[in-house]
Amino acid sequence: MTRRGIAWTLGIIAVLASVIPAFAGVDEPIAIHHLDHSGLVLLGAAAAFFVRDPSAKGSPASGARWLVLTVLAPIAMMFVMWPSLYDYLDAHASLHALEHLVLAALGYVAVAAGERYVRGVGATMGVLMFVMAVLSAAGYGVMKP
Amino acid sequence: MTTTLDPRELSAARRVMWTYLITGFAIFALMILIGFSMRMEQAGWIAYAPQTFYSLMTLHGIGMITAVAVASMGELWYLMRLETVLDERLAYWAWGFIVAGAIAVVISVLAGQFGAAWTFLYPLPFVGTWWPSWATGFYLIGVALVTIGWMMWCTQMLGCVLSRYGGFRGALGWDYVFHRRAFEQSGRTPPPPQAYAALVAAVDGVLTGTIGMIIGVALIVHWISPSVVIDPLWAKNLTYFFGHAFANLTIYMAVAGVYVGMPRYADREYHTSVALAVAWWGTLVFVAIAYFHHLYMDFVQIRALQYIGEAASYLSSIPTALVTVYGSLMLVYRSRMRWSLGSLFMFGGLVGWIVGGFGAVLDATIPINSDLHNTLWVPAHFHTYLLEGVVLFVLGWTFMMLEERSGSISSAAVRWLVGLGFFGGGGLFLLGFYIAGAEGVPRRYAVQPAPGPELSGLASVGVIILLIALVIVLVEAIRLAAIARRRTA
Amino acid sequence: MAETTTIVLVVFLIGAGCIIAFMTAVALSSLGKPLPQAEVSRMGYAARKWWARILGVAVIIAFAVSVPWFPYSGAKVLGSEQHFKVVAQQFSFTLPPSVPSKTPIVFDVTATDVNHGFGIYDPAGKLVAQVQAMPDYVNHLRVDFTTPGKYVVRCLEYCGVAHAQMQSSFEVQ
Ligand code: HEM
Ligand SMILES: [Cu+2]
Repeated sequence: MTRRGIAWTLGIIAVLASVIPAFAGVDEPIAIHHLDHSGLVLLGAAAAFFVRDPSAKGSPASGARWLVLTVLAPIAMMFVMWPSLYDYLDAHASLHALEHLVLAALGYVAVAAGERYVRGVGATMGVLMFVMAVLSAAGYGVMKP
Repeated sequence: MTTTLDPRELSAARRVMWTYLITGFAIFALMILIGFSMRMEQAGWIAYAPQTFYSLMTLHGIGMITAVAVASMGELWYLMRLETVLDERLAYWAWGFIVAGAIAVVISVLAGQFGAAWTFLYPLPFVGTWWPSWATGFYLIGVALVTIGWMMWCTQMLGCVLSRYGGFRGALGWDYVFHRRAFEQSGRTPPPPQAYAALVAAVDGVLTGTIGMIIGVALIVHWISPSVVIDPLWAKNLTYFFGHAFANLTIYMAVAGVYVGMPRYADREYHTSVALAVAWWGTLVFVAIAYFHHLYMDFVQIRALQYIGEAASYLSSIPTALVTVYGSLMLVYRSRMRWSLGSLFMFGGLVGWIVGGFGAVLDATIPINSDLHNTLWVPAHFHTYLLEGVVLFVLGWTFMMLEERSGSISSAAVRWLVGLGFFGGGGLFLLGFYIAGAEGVPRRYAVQPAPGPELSGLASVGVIILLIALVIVLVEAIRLAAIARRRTA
Repeated sequence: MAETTTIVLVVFLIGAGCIIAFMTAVALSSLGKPLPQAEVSRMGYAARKWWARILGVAVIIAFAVSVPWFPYSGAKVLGSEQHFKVVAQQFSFTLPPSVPSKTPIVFDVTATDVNHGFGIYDPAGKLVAQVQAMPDYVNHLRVDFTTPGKYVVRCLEYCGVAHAQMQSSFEVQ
């Protein structure tokens, strides 16, 4: 498969994985829910990774706006993963689907912008965002088991 | 080191550096006075309400770390700017975020009396406090802004080393280490030593920043909606990861100036070696995982992490002892070293780094930590490698710049006075902490049990001597800067 | 236990003295007759091999020696130990009034509000054991007291305005 093909596949999976569980109405503990989100972020990030132009290397001499996007995306992700909203979202499927799409999009933006800035920066940020979401499951809105 | 910058580019790069350095020194000057007043309070020379003491302690902690971070960032940014083209606007944006964050923190502490300590442990800032809730919010948002600025700077550095040296593989010097012959035959050279400092600052810095954002956003969210719970042990892990790595990285960043400066003073060559590359790989890992030593006294922490903490703490000393400091000693040994304030500061900083590191390694030994954890032994060792380490590295770099641009150096009398003040006065100040720590006097006590107050008095005398030296340093800096200005005009 | 920190302080001061003396000597060598860098490098790299070995061995030995003294395993259930509950709160401790000596004691330490530290000082004023007191968690601290007398407890984790006054005591009988 071409890079573009992989990216499209990942993107479609990300959309399906965002929408279907939201409408399936599953009721999960917050920790598991965070983990689901980490998967969505990773899908978005991976799609961006395959979209990038493999020959473009980028340069730190310019591209400030890309850098700013890649730095702000993880913070935005943490705010979107607001634990006390999860109950509400479980009851409102379309908002929930939208939240999921935003998370996947943030993963996408962080990697796409970072790779656009300098190759390697976006991939690093994508991995770190995934780690952030996974670590959240251990204590963000979550009490000791 | 050759630069290909034209005069206009060079002066723009210098402007970035001085903006950062002067910001750092200005904060440092204020914070040192606060530190002095805290020590006098502990000695009973002056009296503070405990609220005041703890608020000032919070400000001193976050302010000092920010000060040395900003100064080191400016120094390293400039060094890397000599290697490759970097967007100055971003450097100013990062600086702006940090200054904005610092202002929010100052408002939180001075107007709101926030006093949970700079690395407070959840749920402290929300339970049983004397400051209003808005002060907690200001503090959290302030630190978040500092972190965003830090992340921007680190990301720029990451972009810099990745694009300049050929991705992670090139920046790490992977082929240089593992395929040395092919690498050298192809006419390539590994990244210079300062680029390793930039790589480690960038990678561990971005990592630290993301960890800081997890706990930072979690705390801000809890502040807005208190129903969001946070696991206290989880919070402790993330808080100390952030605090430990952020504070440590300042040293590893500032030492880049020593890599560049020391060979110039000693009139010798210093290049990347395989040992240097591998040493920095070690540092890259150990800086991130040594923080577990902050949780030795949390017996509920996963047991394996305690072992990793001790091992990583020990191992993190090896790159320093074996490569950076040892290499510098080889540069100085029987060289034609030119001793000036700049070189004295750099060399003194290495001494402070090693001595403080030794104190820290002892403390990182778990059975010893049982007797020293959260005693004054902790401020003892970290003040050694911060005050007599990273501060001296940054001062050394600053004076090297001033000496080169003014073409003159300080007199021998000044060097002796400053040296005595820094190491005599500074040594006395530190000794007060070490002895009190060994006596079991707890840290972060506004009023200490015996023999804390007597030792605080002794330490305060040391601080006075140190302050005199610092005034001389300031006067010398202004004098040299004036000469430099006249020369260029 | 009481003497450990004195030993640590002495070891530290001697170590620091050696480091300072050695580095000063290196600095002073630059005032004498210079040596070509190639020569210094040759000697330096040869010496570094030994320095690396010494450091490596020292680290391994220190690690190995320290492990049996870790405070964690002692908290495991022995069967014969006596448990005492310790609760820390802003700004006091809820403690047993007295505990027996020459018996394995396990303190089950927790906190109700914020993080505190449970630090035990012996009658001579030396810190002999400590553990964190955390909300939501219970830390088990094993101590074997040999000397009877009054033991002072101090808070060893910053917890707010009266942190320095957060003190209590118990009797060892
Ligand atoms: C002569 C200069 C200085 C003086 C007199 C001073 C004094 C103090 C004092 C009295 C404390 C509180 C110790 C305690 O009871 O726990 C303290 C803590 C601290 N100092 Fe300094 N200090 C100085 C320089 C520095 C420097 C250069 C740095 C860093 C670059 C620094 C960073 C800190 C930090 C991070 C803390 C911990 C605050 C906390 O416990 O929350 N200090 N200092
Ligand atoms: Cu306390």
